[in-house]
Amino acid sequence: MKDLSPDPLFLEAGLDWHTVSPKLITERRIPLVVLATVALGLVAVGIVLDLNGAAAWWPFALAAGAIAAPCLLLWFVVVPRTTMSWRYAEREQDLLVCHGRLSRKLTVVPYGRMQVIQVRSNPVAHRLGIATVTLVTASADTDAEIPGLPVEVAQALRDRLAARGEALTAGL
Amino acid sequence: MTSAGTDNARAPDEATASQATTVDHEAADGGSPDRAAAPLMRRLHPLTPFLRSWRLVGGASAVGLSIFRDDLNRLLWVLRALHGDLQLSLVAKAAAVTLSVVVVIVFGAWLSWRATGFAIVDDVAGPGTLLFNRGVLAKQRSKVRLLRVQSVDINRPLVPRLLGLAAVRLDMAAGDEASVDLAYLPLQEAMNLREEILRHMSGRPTRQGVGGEGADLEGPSPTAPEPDILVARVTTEQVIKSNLLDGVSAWVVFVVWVAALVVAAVWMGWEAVLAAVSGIIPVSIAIAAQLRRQVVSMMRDADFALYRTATGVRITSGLTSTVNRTVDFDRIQAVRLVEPFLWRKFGWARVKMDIAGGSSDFEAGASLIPVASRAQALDLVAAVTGARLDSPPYVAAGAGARRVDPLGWRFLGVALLEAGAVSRAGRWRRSTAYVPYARVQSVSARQGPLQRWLGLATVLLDLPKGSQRWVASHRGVDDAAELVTGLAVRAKQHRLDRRDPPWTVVSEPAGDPRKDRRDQDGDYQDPYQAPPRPEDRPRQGGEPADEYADHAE
Repeated sequence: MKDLSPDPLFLEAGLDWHTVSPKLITERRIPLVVLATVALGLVAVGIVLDLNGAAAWWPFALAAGAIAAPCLLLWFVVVPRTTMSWRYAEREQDLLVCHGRLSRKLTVVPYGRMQVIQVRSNPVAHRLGIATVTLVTASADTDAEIPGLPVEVAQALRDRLAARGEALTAGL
Repeated sequence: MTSAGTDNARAPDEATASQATTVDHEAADGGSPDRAAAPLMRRLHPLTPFLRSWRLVGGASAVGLSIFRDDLNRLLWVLRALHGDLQLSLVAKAAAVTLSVVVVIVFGAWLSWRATGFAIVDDVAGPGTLLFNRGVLAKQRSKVRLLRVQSVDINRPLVPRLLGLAAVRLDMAAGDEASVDLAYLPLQEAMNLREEILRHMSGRPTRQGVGGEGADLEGPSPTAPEPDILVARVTTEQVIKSNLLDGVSAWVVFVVWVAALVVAAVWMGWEAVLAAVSGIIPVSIAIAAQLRRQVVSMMRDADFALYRTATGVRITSGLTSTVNRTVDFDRIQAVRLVEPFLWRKFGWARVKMDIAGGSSDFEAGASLIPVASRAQALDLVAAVTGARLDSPPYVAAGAGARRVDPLGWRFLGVALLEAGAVSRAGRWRRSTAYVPYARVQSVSARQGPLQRWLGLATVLLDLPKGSQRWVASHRGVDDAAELVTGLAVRAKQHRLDRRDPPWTVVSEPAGDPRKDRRDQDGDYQDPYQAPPRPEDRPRQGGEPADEYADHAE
């Protein structure tokens, strides 16, 4: 699962493709925890109501199951697979970012076109020590975001990109 | 702008001239003696607040009406007043309310007018900076480097147009929020202001030159702007005819729909139709929206004229509200040749262009020409971009695309020309998009599950906001990989290639060369028949030279 098959388009051979931190999986699983709590809560409410004789417990269990089943799928299959699909490679003139399992995306951003480099981190990611590096060009369509980089890696990447961008800057 | 201002701008020393113009205007304006500190601000037309906020004024009156509805309900008081048995207090009350509302509105308008001002100055941000202050409570102060302006429009919506007013709009690459709308000015002043902005905007080396004599030698000089040359004109009739033909399906749907409703009403009675009204209304709205879009585009492109300026094109069009838009060649991000199915029978085509941060009134791109013969359209594209799109060496998407796009796959094609990439698509409505490599922001590839299964991928070029993405759909994976590499390499080369002195060549292949070059150049041959030479490519690599001066360490 961890290594993607080399691909002439999306994962060009001979390049130094970096992966992102596995901690990103944890970050992406947080919303699932919320959903799982909701499911547990439903079950609890069902049991309480059943004991009081107010309602049958099983509709609640069904609802909880309907929430929990996709959660399990996401938890064990989808989230790990998609999050670990992020790859990036630095070339002399441009940065390559590739992600996606079922549908794949590749973005080639020339250093000369970068206008802003953002390093962001939400509270959860901050606790996990990871950050997201986003490259902004004049185009709103440029989708160059690398989530789940350890903070020091993200900062080093930002500094490298900024230095290269300065040397190669072009306008519109 | 007064004639004094124009004369002043023609003074030999350019730097002092632009400052002098600012001051001179203030003097001519004469309306703000209290603003002695530099830079002195020019004013918009005093009617501006009313025109800009006519909705607000309308809303205020509506609110006022609703508050005093009870009184107004006794409209009979007019009759009673005529009969002489009205309580005077009511008349006095109504008069006082009306008067105070008017006073408040006028005072607010005056405050807003007083707080709004603009000036063109030279300052630390660079030569040719526009200051624009506005806002009474929340003050906004914009500073716009005119070198960064993407296009200058003179807009004349219906009501201001009737009053002889116009708005000057500066499109910035960052989009609508960053764009500046100097509304409204008297038409003549707006035109003069545009000229002034254009001079700063093009930032031509000749302008930065030492003096008048140098400017005279090197091409078009700002001190005597050469008149714009009319390249093409499209009459309202032609626009309407061609648009009807283009949107004939929508009109057919509309007619069929109305006929069906009438038949249903006659056959089953109005009650049945009324019963089905919840289903009828959404469909009608959808059809009406489609037609409205067509009518709006007709109105916008009506009475269309395309001029060539020294450094770009100027477009005037519009029926009720008119637009007068100036775009430099190097601000054009992409060009598209659109050929609807029925148009191809007549050999017609439309050319659209994308401008960075183009205003929201033309998301689908501004018309470079709303309708023209195919040959004319191709010449125009060549004039603007230097690329001939007659029959580029297309590489077809291949049979693999057939399963995804069974109707259109034969028409998917990509060609990499000297200075830009061409992509063609569309079984019925054929669209040929051209993007100069030098304009590419980033290259992307996408692959959905179905494409993955079939070994296909889509390659895209990302362009600045306001431009449509260039899309090469359903290429074979190996082909797509090659395309991504090829595009990235070419984009890099053209981005780095700034040795072209843009402004020395820019006036040559532009516009309709047959018209203005033949007499000067005895041996003039149509340059577009030959493949464009690298030095004919000023617009792609071309940016004003001094825009990069900052980075040239």
